[in-house]
Amino acid sequence: VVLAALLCAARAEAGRRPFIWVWDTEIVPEGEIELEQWLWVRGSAPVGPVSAAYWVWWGPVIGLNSNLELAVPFQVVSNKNGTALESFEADLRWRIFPREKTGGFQPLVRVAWHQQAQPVGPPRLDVNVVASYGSPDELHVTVDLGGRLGLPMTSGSAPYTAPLLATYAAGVAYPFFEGELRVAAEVFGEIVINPGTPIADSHHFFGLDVAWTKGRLWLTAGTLIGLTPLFPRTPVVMPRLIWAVAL
Amino acid sequence: MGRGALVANYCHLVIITICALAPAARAGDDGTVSGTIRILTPGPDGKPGPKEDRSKVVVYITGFTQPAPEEMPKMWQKGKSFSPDVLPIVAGQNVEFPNEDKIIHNVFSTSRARAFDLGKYRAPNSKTIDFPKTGVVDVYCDIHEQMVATILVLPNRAFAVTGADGKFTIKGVPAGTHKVFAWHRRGEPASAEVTVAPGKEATVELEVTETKLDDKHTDKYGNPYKGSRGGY
Repeated sequence: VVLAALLCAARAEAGRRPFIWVWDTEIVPEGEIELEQWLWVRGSAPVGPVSAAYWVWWGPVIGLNSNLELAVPFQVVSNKNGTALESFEADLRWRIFPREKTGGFQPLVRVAWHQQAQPVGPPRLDVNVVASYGSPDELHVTVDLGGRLGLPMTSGSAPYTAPLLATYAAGVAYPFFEGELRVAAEVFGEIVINPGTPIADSHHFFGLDVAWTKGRLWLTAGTLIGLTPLFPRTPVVMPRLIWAVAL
Repeated sequence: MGRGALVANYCHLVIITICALAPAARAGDDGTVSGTIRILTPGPDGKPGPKEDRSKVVVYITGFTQPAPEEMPKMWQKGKSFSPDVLPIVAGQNVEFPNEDKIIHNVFSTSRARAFDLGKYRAPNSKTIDFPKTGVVDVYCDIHEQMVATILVLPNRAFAVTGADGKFTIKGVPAGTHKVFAWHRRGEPASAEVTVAPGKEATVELEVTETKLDDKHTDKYGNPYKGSRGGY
């Protein structure tokens, strides 16, 4: 009933994020809160230890001011071994220019503290530098370069090699129906750059997305398709559904 | 805002946009356009009659473009209302929205000419937004339904807002024949042609008929306002 009421809202608002993996530069307005949820699957790969896993990401996203938004989600993962609370995050996104300045070149920096919950493990710091060009109601291009660094100083006295992962992502989105619907294509990759790690551990994907916005609701659905024939440790598919409701 | 009002605003946006494509004005050869606006409003019997208060009608002239002035107009949030609630500007100008109330407001627009959402903020904070395209931008507060304003983004500086007597004067109008419009939030725009001679004053009388009795509109998500959000 709630969903039906939301869908009956007459006015379209600008969509939040047209991509399932590329971070974008739109942020929640100051003083507003959105409840955001992701459902996604990391498919299996023909080589390596990666088996299929099913993830839920859920959390509030809070507009702190015209430049900052904060997400405090938790993640639950389910695989052949069971279902567990996987992690908590504090995810801060700093849009360099205020959100009132729309269109043109828009840079954003994302810093996220990721605390593994079960089994308890060392935290991880994610950093992304994102740049987009174009407003949501026109052709919109986004590039997102990131890194994920394990934090060994908090791992206790046990021997620990900090994993270091570089990520790249880029996407292009185009609006239809006055921006209510956006169709997007994106690429995403993650490269393990620890010394001695074979480059074959890298994962590379391309994908297609559809994003839809109506009233208080926005959702984005799509799938990444792995370049598995070239990189056998890359999962074959990684579909993801993201939706959010403005409170 | 109802569908009829949306269509009317869209038509008005098209008119302003087409007019904005006209050539830029040449310096000199300027004249003045002055006149009076009459407002007709439906009486108790439904028949339109003259309205005593003829203020807040924007009279503007099209047919040429001018660069946006440097100054930045302000639209205050004060006493749970916008002030001024009718603001003509030139395309390319920024407008500042200071909140002078101790309570939180949210300034937003879903208008085609410039949709925006400034979020929620309280005094003494202020936010600024640009208006690059000509058109009609209806501005509301998502918390207080009674807060209604309109920004008319025009192609040039040849505009004026009427006082209670309905009189207006527009100086610096390039010589030539132009179309002059009278816009009122609750009515359809009226128009006439006026010929301006260098250094002379041309007069024009226009009549606007109110077709809407109120400023009913929806919240920023397209839903009716809930009573409990009407103010605190």
